[in-house]
Amino acid sequence: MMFELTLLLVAFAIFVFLALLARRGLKPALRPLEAYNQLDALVGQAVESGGRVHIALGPNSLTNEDAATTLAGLAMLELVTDSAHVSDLTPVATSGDATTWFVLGDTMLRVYRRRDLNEKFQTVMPRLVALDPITYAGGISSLMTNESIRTNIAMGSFGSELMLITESASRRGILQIVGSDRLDAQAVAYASSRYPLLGEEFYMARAYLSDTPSAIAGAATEDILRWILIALIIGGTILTSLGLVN
Amino acid sequence: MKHILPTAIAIGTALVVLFGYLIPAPELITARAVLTDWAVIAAALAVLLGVANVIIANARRVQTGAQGWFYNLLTVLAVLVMLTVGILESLGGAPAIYEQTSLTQVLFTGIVVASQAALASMLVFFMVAAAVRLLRLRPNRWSVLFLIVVIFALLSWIPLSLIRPLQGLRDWVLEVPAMAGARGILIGVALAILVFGLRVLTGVERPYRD
Repeated sequence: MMFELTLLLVAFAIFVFLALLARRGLKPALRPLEAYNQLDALVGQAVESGGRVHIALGPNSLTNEDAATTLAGLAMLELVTDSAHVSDLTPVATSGDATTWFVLGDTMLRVYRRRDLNEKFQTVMPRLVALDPITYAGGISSLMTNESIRTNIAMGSFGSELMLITESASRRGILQIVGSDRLDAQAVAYASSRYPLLGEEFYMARAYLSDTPSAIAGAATEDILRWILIALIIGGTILTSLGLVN
Repeated sequence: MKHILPTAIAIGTALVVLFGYLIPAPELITARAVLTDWAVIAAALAVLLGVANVIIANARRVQTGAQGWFYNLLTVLAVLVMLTVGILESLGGAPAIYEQTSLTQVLFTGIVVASQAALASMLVFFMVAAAVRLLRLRPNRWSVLFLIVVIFALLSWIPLSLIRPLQGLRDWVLEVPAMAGARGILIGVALAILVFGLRVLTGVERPYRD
């Protein structure tokens, strides 16, 4: 437990320091990510063509270890709904978990409320498709056929069943941004989407899309922690090889 | 107060659960268990509301005659049939619906599980098609390497003596470069989750805010 607590405290200290710097305007530069660079253009294409944006948050829940991934997906949902609020056809968000579905509607309603467009929000915009990952993927495939989807954004704890969603979208010429925290789905995302989000890129939506100082500080904190871990791994390997530690 | 109270509840709850894992104090562990139980109960209620959402969303499409309404009608009927069968069988005692011979299990195994298996069986074909499409849309060395590895992995699993030399190479690819890359990605994901959790704990990431 000491190592976990130490890591947590170190991460907290670095994050707070960088967040304070970012609030004073000292923001680190973020490497470009094509998926986030193109998001506004993809949403704009859907809006201008009279179609819908679909945001799939996957089968992940808010009550288990996937919660952070769910929250990252909800951050993306809020940003995309805000971009697409002018569309005649309102965006659709889907989930494969009941607790996440519950929060989808609240997230989307808050965006419309902030824009004074309460009347545009419909109770069928957030949808629970299925409670099983493969059934969820199958349900999304049929939704993309019937709901005039022009842009598909899939961000959640998908597995290899993500292939069903991306293949269905590709056949209809639907542009996609795809990301997952699971390795098998990341391989699918790389193969089937022009704009995949791999690894930790998935969690950086707010840093890239809203320029929030704390989000940018979070991205920088993660980079610093990664270098610390690299140093520990290399140092530990060298020390172990020399027989200085067990 | 409108903004402070939800944030205070979120941060307080998160700290109790976090310290309940890190510090083995009986009071913290009890508090963590109570909060976790509340979350499970809320999740169960959310499932009931979610089922209602499924029925309402699909029924509305049937009512308006939207494209593909017939499949929405099938969905509504399937939900109602399974609910009715499950409720009637459970009136005889809860374990009945979980027995292999119950109508609920027969319907689930015969229709849902079979459909899932059919969908999953198509994944390998879609993956190969996607790899070929990747080469056409993004013709670079990484796409070529991706396609080569996909085809190599599929071929190496064929149980023929002619293929046996490839299996050793396959095992090496899986255990060394693939594993190294996978671990790197997973470490990145873990650090991102840690930092995201810190942002929720400090109240800067507030999915519940107005």
